[in-house]
This record gives sequence, C-alpha cells and structure tokens, in this order.
Amino acid sequence: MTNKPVQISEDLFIKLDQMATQRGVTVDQLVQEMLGDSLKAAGAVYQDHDEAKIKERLKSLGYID
Amino acid sequence: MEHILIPPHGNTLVNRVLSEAHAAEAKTRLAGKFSLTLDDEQVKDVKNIARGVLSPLTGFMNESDFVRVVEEMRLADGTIWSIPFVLDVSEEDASNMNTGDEVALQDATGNLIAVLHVGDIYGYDAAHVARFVYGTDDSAHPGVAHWQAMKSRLVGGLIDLIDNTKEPYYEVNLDPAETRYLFKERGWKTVAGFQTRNVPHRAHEYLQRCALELTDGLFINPIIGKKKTGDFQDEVIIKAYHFMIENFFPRESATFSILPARMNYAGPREAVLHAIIRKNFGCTHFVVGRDHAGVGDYYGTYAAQKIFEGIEDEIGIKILKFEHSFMCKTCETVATSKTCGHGDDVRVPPSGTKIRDLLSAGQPVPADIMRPQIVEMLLQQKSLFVE
Repeated sequence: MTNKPVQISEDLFIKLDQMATQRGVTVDQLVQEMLGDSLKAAGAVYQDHDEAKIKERLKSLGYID
Repeated sequence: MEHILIPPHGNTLVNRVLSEAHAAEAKTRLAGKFSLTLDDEQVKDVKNIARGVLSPLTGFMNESDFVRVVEEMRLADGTIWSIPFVLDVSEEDASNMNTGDEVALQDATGNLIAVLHVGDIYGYDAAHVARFVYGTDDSAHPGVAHWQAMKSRLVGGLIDLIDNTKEPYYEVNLDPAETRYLFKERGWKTVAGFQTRNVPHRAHEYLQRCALELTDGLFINPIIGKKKTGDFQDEVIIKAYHFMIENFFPRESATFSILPARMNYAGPREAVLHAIIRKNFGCTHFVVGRDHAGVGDYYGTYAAQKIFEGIEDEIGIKILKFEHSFMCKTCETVATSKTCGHGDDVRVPPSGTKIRDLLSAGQPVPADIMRPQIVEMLLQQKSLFVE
C-alpha cells in the first residue's frame, strides 16, 4: 500500500467534496466508504491476482527460486 | 525505480475467473438449466477470455464488435482487434435463449466450464467473414472451411469462468498475471515473445537469440491445441523446449509457457492477434517471420509483417521482423538473406518435411538443422507425431 497522490478531474473532485461535506467526512474517508460498499456488493466475484499466490505457484513450478 | 510493465491491450487485464464461492454458487444456480456444449477449441477460447489472454475481450463478441472486427479490424470502441471470437449455435439452441439469460457452457464430457450472460444473438455470412479475415473464400483454406462448417447463429455475451483447471499441462501453463509477475521478478523491462508450433530447430533458435540480443528476456510461447496428422504432439514440443531452455539458454533471460489456443491460419490477421496476446502476457516485442501463421499460398511472403505498418505504435508492441533463416554451409552459421550473401546451393533451410521424415524413420536430423542433443531427446520419445 502506498499513499501516493493521484490526479482526478476537477469536476469529479468538486462533486466528491460536496458529497463529503454533506456527510461531514473528508474526501479520503468518503472514497474509502464508497470503495468498501462497492467491494461488499461485488462480494469478491472474481479470483484476485494475489501476488503472494502467484509467487508461490511460480516457485512450486520452478519458474523462480 | 518502480518496474513498469507494458499495459495489457485495452489497458486492463481482464479477469473473469470466478472466486471459489461464486463458482460453487453458479454451479448450483445453473444445475438443470439450459446449457450449450463446447468443443475443445471453444473451451480454450472461454478460458483465454476469462484469464485475460485475450484482453480486452470479456466474452464472446456481440454483433457490433463482430461486424467491425471483420470489416475494419477494430472492436466497436475502436481498439485494434483482428480475429472474431464468436460462439456459434444452432437455430434450435438460439431459440432457447434470450438476451439477459444465463446459459451454462459445458465441455464434451458434460463438465461445467463457464456461465455465458447472453448478449446479442445474430446471424452472419461466412463468405463475407472469410473474404475479410482470411482474404479468400476458398473452402480449401482451413480457416474458411471452419467458418463454412459453423452453425448458423452466433451468440455474444460476457463469460464467467467456473472451471479454471489447466490440465493436462498445468506446470507450463501460465496466465498473463503470472507471466507479468515472472517478468517483473526477473527484472525484465523488455521481453521478446516468440510464437511457435514446432520443436526447436537451429533456424528458430537463431531468431530467438537475435531477439534476445535486443531485449532483457525471451518468452517462448508455443501454441498447443488441435493438430493435423503429422504434426508434432504437444508433449513433444513441451519436452523439447523444456530441454532447450534448461540446457542452452541462460535461465535468467529465457523462459517458456504454453498457449492453449486454436490456430486460425489467418496469416497477417493472425500475426496481429498473436502480437496482442503476447502484449497481454507482458511482452514488449514480438517476432514475426515471413508467412507467419500462414497456410498454403494464400498470403504474400511479407503480408504478416506489412500488416503492422501504421498500426504497430497503436497496438503498442514492437514487431521484430525477420527473413527466413537457414544454415549457410559457406558462412558455417545460421543466417538470413539479410546477413548471408551466398546462394541457395549452400543454404540448408529447416525443412519440416525432412525433419519429420527422418525422425519418423528413427534417423538423426543433420546437426546443421537441429541440435544433436534435441534430436537424441526426440528419438527417445515413444511417439512424436499426431496420427
């Protein structure tokens, strides 16, 4: 995980800021909340590309040490 | 510095492999419902779509994608795509489906493979497709013959993969997410993809080494699948390349994994598809020789190279174009017409027929065509060719 800044359009930021203000949270908190809801709704439908699992498989097959 | 890999085609690596819980739930949901039975090649299409090999495809093509791919070599959104990926069904099966339905896709043994979320159900003109995609409507062309034999309706729609097994060659069958991790792990910023359907011989090895001189890594990616009588068996190709990588290439700069997929023999159009697939695996470069993926005399010698003119940058993978390579007895090395000034009388091309005839008779292939160690390994196999 990193905390690198990301760029979004000014229009989108204004909308998010308005929604966050209405809810009394920061934009960061609002996005986290929305992401959480969206992931919950999706219920991890697809197998994730978990790097640890990939590494384990490649190791077991002899592709990497 | 962060290791940045080439983005997949369409910028997103498609993943439609259902999680275990959702796969189990889908199996229960689809039990006893209407299903379609796929042949082995269609099962490969489904798995390749779901695993991101064919990114940005997320399912079988709906009509707008299909029409534009056939006529303009682009998806409906404008992304370059050269070969239609469609599911053909009979009139009767088509009448049992409606847009929005979920249909079970099973293999020939009745094993549930995937869910198809039915999109468009539409008709097509095989001769029209053949002329655009294969450049001919001659039914002697295997790709054209395939389209002529297809059922009369096509059904598009998203795929959700239930059966993610990779047998029978699990140990050398990597997904794009895995090859991308592998390339990153090895520190390869540039990777040359090499397509083959054959066991390694000197002429191919020369192209592979040339490509590797230009890049950090070499990814040999043999197509495994439906074969013609007389073709090398899949396991023989895998064993031979495994031997080659283990014994002749530096482990840190070469690897291989299979690509279970159908061959369309669409020449130039197929070269574009092959390049896009290798881009999805994480390759930055792709080797295209003369008459790539061709059959008979349907395509010009350089058609598979020329097709990239004007679209190579848009596809986003660098095409390494090579002439036919051969052993020159005077140069005493493998070369191409670009690097050898001698005549045909001293050039030994890697004749597939000659290799096959010699090996079938249990005879060694000359060392200037194939490495003796590879020949020895091949001659130890119980069976080499598809009967």
